[in-house]
Amino acid sequence: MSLILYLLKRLLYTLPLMAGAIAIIFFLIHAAPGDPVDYLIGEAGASQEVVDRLRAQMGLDRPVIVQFGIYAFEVLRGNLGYSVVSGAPVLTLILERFPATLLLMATQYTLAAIIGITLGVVSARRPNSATDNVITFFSLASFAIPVFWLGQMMILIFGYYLDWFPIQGMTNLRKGYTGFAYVLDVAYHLTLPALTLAIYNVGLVLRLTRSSVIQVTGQDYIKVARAKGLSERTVLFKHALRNALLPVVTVIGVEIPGLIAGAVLAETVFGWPGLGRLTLDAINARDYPLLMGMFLFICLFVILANLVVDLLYAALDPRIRYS
Amino acid sequence: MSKHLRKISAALMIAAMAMGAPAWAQSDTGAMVVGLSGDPTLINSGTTTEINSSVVGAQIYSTIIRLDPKGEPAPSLAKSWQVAPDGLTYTFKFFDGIKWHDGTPFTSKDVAWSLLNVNKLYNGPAGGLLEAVQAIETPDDQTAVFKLARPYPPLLRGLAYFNSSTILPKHIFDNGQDPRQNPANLKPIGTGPFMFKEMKKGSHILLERYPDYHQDGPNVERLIFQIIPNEAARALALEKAEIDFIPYHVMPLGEVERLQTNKAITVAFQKRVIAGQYQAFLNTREGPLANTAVRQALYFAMNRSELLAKAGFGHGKVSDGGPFSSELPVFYTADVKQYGYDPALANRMLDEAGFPRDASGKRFSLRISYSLSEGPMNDVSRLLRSQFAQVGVELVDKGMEASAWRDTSFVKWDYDITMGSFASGPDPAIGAEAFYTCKRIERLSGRNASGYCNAEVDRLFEAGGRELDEGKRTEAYRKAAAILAEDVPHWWLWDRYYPIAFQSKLEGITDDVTGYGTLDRVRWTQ
Amino acid sequence: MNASASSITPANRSWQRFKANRKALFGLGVLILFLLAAVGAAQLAPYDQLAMGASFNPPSATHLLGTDSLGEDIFTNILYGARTSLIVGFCAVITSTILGTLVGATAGYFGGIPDTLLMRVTEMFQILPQFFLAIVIVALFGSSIWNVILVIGVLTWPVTARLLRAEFLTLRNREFVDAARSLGMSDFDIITREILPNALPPIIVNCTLQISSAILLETSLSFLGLGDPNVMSWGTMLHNAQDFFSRAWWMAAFPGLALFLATLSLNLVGDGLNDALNPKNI
Repeated sequence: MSLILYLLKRLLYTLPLMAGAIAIIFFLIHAAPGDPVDYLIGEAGASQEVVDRLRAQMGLDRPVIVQFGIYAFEVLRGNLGYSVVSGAPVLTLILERFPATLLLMATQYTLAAIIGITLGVVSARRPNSATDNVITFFSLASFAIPVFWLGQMMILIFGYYLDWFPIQGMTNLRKGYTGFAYVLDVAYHLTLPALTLAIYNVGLVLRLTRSSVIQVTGQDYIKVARAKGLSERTVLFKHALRNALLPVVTVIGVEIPGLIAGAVLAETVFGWPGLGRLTLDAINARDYPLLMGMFLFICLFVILANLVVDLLYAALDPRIRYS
Repeated sequence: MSKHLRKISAALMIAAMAMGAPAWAQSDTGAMVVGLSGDPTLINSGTTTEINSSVVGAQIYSTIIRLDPKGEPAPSLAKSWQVAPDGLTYTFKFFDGIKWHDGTPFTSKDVAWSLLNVNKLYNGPAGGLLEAVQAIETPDDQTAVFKLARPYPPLLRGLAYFNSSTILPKHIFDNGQDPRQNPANLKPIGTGPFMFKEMKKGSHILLERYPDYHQDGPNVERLIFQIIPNEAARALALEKAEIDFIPYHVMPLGEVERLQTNKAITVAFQKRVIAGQYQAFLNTREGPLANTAVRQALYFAMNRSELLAKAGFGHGKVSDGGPFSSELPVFYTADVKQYGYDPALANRMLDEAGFPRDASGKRFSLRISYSLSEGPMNDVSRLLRSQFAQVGVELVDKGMEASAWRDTSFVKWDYDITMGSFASGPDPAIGAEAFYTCKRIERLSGRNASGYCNAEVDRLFEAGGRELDEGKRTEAYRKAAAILAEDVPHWWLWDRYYPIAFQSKLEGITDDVTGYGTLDRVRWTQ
Repeated sequence: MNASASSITPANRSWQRFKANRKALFGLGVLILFLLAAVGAAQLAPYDQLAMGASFNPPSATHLLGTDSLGEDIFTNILYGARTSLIVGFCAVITSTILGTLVGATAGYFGGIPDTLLMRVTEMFQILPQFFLAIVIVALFGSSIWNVILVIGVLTWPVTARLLRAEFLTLRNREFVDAARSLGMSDFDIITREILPNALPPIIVNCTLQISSAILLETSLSFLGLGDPNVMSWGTMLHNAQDFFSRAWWMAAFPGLALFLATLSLNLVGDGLNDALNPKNI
């Protein structure tokens, strides 16, 4: 079966699941105490008349099931609605913030993959050696560090005491750089948050690389390569690694929802203008359409990422065929 | 130095300058960066009371008048004004040649339309402020005449507030649509000293100097609001000169002491005529707190100096004027019943009130709720739990997220004790009245949620709100304060001071007394 | 592999393998310390849980790990925090394991339509972005510790369900199951007495790792200010510390260290168990 058909099938399979998930979230959010009107009015208060009018205008006075019907219909038409707080289209709000999160995620995962694979291969060369033990310990340790705490320590040490890196935001706003200088400036601001998240993710990549390299090096074709007299380094990096990459790629797919979690926390600590902050703001303002939109977006992103991972998988391993 | 070296260093310098200085950024002092904790959801104080929106909006929009450093009305859009002796007519004369940022001339019709069609309908405090205003007449483009149904002395100062009285452009908002959906909420066009340039949500808002501003200034080319959600990081960013100013509502209180030791940073106190107090509403309808003696006893059991020192970092004064903050001049008096820390007395009073300790030493248990986003309240709750344990009263912490808190406390009245920061000013008729009078027992945010009702208090507030003679007004309010301090429908914790911090090289920041003043007079020294 | 045969020997062998793993033993040691701290918090703590002294005391003889901004003793709070973290970790994992086992065992044992349906539901839950949803639910519905446990439990069961289903699929056609069936044992008895014990090893390993991620999740929620205010937790301590991290390093450093050691030890034990129970994946 062709690839496109396979992809279509996957999408058709996933859509009903998503619809169910969206319904669950919709009713959960609407069942919670408090609504956007409370937020708009603020502590100063307003008359019952104003409150009623605002609620009616937002459609909040109708039964929840009717509200859901309207929402579902609009989503099917491709309309995610408007933020009840700012009035801006939800999709615009999300897309505005997505690039920053994507940049942070891509950078940190690249870093994590490079460091993790290197250390994993080094570690797999002599299992149970002193080096291996140290690296294994490090990998376990990296799981155990809470990412927000690590971020604060990085800010304190490298941002404040050593004063090597800026501590907040994505650019130097006072200077207002443009062009190439802007790119450099963003990279400079990106260092600490990306490193923080990378350290957190190195562990998993490292462990998977290590175990799959150990498994693969026991197999016949590696023995043949060794027997051919290829250097140990060549054998490891050219032959073993290529096969060992498969599970690493899989893990990217599995970990993408987790990456978003890390991003929420890291963005809070580093003042990074991505989706994480948007989520928290939307919760505080009870911005129902925005929350639902965020949720839809993340779900779709996870599904798409998994599809991409499947494709990568196929590219790396010619034995896999879609049927 | 050799010729070569000089050439190389010159080249390096040019390269550095090319990287570091875009065409419009001649020097660092051309810009000023203000730290905020989050995005304003929109920039339109005509429809929202959110502080971030007011702080940013105040730079772009204008109010009819403003307050000078002493808190007295001063010209803004209006160059002069007159209040008729009967207090029923206010006449404002506006400056000539004021233009909106898009070039459209500003007229008195903007004022009349905006206040009555947007602010009054969509902004809670403006609704109250303009209740007495029957009509706003516009005999010519430069004149607006407010006709009142009854005298309402607080009106004039109220019109100086950005979070209620921002004047919006009629030609943009009068399009038959909901003003909250207007695209100008995210791309505002005002008459203020700065023009809106761009807003990158979660990152920053960039404003540029408006060259045709009708008053003096502004003195910086670009004004930037940078979003820094993390408290401690905001202070570090100020120290690293990544930002220049932290306004009162986003000031990390725990960092004040440390910032004070830094010579490059000035810590000052924002004057705010709303005179905020941290206070706790007590649900007087049911349970032990329905008993006045219990409310008094627990007020005695409270070590408010410790609350102020540890939760408020000492930035305030333990309330001793009952419902009026010591920061509310004129009306405040300490000549009311006082509640010093006295756990022994509290224990005795609780015994006498018929709430003996049980075998485990406990008398009863109360729920205490507050909004988690209201800075020190979580700490206050933790401290109170410890203090009340001494008199055998258990507190169950119900800290919750802001909307849920407003809903459960002010709409559902489902609480025993609920705390937050509330205004006692700028005038008791605007601030305090809403919390204590019977007719304000409404299921609405910021109203009398404690259910306290006393005909005498009502009468005194009624008299104070109508009276034009300042001496008689003061007398009425002071009597009301004395009764309230005796009945304690609230526990007034402490009168807030509002620390702010900025680069010492900036001057003019402390001129503002509202907390969301226009930064048109602020300049860099040297 | 017959469940009715004595299980002493394989368990012994696993323990021998576990004992040989020094990392795992270290983890077990630390974990036991935390358990003791959690159980004996009230006896071990030098101060009362509600006691307030001077604020911002650095570590000293009177306050081993210093005091926080309100004058509470950090060491005392860490002990009580250990209790919270472990309660959340264990209860959340028990919840998710019960749910996961129910779904996984039913799907794997019966196959067919129940399997398809249950697995679709499982996949639906796997699409849900866990952390996002956890924040939303706890923020909107209140942050009592039981809410947090329920949320974590309900969001993390799919992994257990899938693991168990896979085990059941391979085990349900073994001879000992057929034998039990021919003896007239009910489906319920076959599932609980015959298959489940044999499917346990991967579940146990998974549980250990899930406890550590549940603890981390609770801490993350508390760090965002969504913790239960009536109980002390390491996340709450870190949340309180974040406003002062440049002023009182000990407020953030020690709870962070406790959290690090607890999750690390759980991971080490989980790793050791994995090697001991499934000797094939060295």
